[in-house]
Amino acid sequence: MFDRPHRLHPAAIVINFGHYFIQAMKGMWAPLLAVLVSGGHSGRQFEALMIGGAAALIGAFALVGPVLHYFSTTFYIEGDALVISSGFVWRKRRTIPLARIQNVNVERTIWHRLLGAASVKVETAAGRRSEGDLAALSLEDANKLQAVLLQRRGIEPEATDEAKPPPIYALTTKQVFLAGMLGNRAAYILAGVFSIFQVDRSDVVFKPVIDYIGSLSPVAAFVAGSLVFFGLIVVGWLVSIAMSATRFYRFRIDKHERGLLLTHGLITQFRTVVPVGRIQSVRIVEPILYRLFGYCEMYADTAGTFDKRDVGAANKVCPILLEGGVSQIGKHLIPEFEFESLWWKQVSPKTVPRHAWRYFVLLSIVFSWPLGHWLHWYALWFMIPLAAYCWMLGVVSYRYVGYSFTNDILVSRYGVFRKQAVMIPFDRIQHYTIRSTWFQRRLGLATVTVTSAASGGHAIHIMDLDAASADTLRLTIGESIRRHLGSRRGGL
Amino acid sequence: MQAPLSHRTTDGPRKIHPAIRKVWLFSNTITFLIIAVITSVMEFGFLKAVDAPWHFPIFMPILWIGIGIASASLVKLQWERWSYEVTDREVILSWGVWNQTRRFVPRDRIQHVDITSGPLARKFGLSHVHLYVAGAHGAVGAIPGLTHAEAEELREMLVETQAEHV
Repeated sequence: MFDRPHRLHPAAIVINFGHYFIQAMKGMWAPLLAVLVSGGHSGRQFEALMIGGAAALIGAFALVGPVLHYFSTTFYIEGDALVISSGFVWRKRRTIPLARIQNVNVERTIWHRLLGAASVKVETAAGRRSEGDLAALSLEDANKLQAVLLQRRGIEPEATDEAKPPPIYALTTKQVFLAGMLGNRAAYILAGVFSIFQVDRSDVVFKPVIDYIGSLSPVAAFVAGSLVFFGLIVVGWLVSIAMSATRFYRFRIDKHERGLLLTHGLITQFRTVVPVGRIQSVRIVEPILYRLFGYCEMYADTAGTFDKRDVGAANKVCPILLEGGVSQIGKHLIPEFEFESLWWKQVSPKTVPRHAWRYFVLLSIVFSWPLGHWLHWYALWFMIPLAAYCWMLGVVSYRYVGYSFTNDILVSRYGVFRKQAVMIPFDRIQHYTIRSTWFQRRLGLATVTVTSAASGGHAIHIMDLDAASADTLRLTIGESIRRHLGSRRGGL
Repeated sequence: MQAPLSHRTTDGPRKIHPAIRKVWLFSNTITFLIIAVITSVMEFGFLKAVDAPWHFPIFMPILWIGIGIASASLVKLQWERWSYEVTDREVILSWGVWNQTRRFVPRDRIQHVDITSGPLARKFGLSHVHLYVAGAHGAVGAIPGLTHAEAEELREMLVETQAEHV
């Protein structure tokens, strides 16, 4: 099986074409839009011709690239390594030792499903992206390759569908919609609209709008502006629900020989194995809306990496989870998982003014321009309620921020609106640091940072501990790491 | 399975070589001079653009040369604050004047060790030792100002105690 060089599925040509084309278009859409909008003006034909020519060139590249890629790419398993050989002019042979493979994902976009194919992504601990990316294999081959790669690592392939035991966790359609409703993506829509302003000729697009608003009375302009703003938020909300519904449709977690198997997706189907033995840290995140309804999200960071476009959700073990169910899933991720029963230690109360001051400076900078423009020097009066508000944020933050540890894990939590807890088992700690700024030293405070090999860089930061506690904590960490030496699971 | 006990340590914190002060002094001087020249040209351009009565740049050269002198005066303190220690389990690095940092790297987590030495450091016979652990982008610690012999000794000490696991 796969001992001889294998070619990709011909669907790879179509899929790569789409990929190349979208990449090329991403860079080109703004100038193209500008040309289209201003197409009727005289004296722009040459420019339009240039951009049209460039687009044609990109299109040609997008067509030739995938064909060459298809004919030049082969993969096979040689001894204890997966070898991917590619390139027509610059030949490349990548060898991935099977023992270094962190994860193997089989993904099916809508194109894969139309063409009866699936992509295989092989991840190791190196780099920021998946190391072995096979754009399209027949579904049968993809599943076999995944099984072979995992099996060669000394693990049995998963059971067939018929004998599937009930899932560890599954989302109902209602919960999937709820996850979308609670996680508003309006900010992305707003950012998208504002990015149009960056385009050189954005005035062509916006001038009629701005002229129209200029012709209104100030009150009408304000109302119109607010309506547009709220409209965008509603659109963002709907987009968010749609995205969540397509991405997390029929989300379920099953037990797998290598850890947990996540299956979900309406259009693109995801089958991700969370390699439990390689989990570096677990995060429990509670955005403000989630918290109001008693829900949270759960993430597991491994040393393996994921494709950039998936970074937001790929480490997500569970998109929506009742707070009470955290331990149920957590125990499957880290056997020593402990959360509800932890006893939290607080940081120094001197953190309140420090936090408050930081919020105050930040918010003052954000609001000084619009308020100053509108109210001139009277805007300074806003400093008083702002200071009170920031002090309140400082107190809220102080009351939540804390850290805790058991014999096996270290946990910290922080956040005012979006609350987050990070958990790192002691046997996953790579290094730890005590840092104190000049201001902190004057108050006798320090910050402790504990880092694992998780690729996302989600370290534990415990800010504003008093110096003596920081020193005690670092001795505890050192001692606990020593105690766990040699007990590490899964190599990393 | 217990990782092998390591035996070679530095027996307490060690200071880095005093000649590193000259390396820092030189590199700071060069850096700030370059910044001063670039910002002065920008100031000249600005003054000309706004049609100021006086085109010769004053503010930027004074600012950057001032910052340069201030940072030069801290070089001694910076050197005094730098120390490293290899215990039987950990490498402990301490540094920083304004932001004081103590970093603890368990010895068996070290993946590899680099010894580098730039042209200035080479002139003074010094090297830097960089420590790498899994998952981090770049070195987690760089000990500056070691003589070649010291750097070599430290490297030997650290690589000999690596556990089989990452």
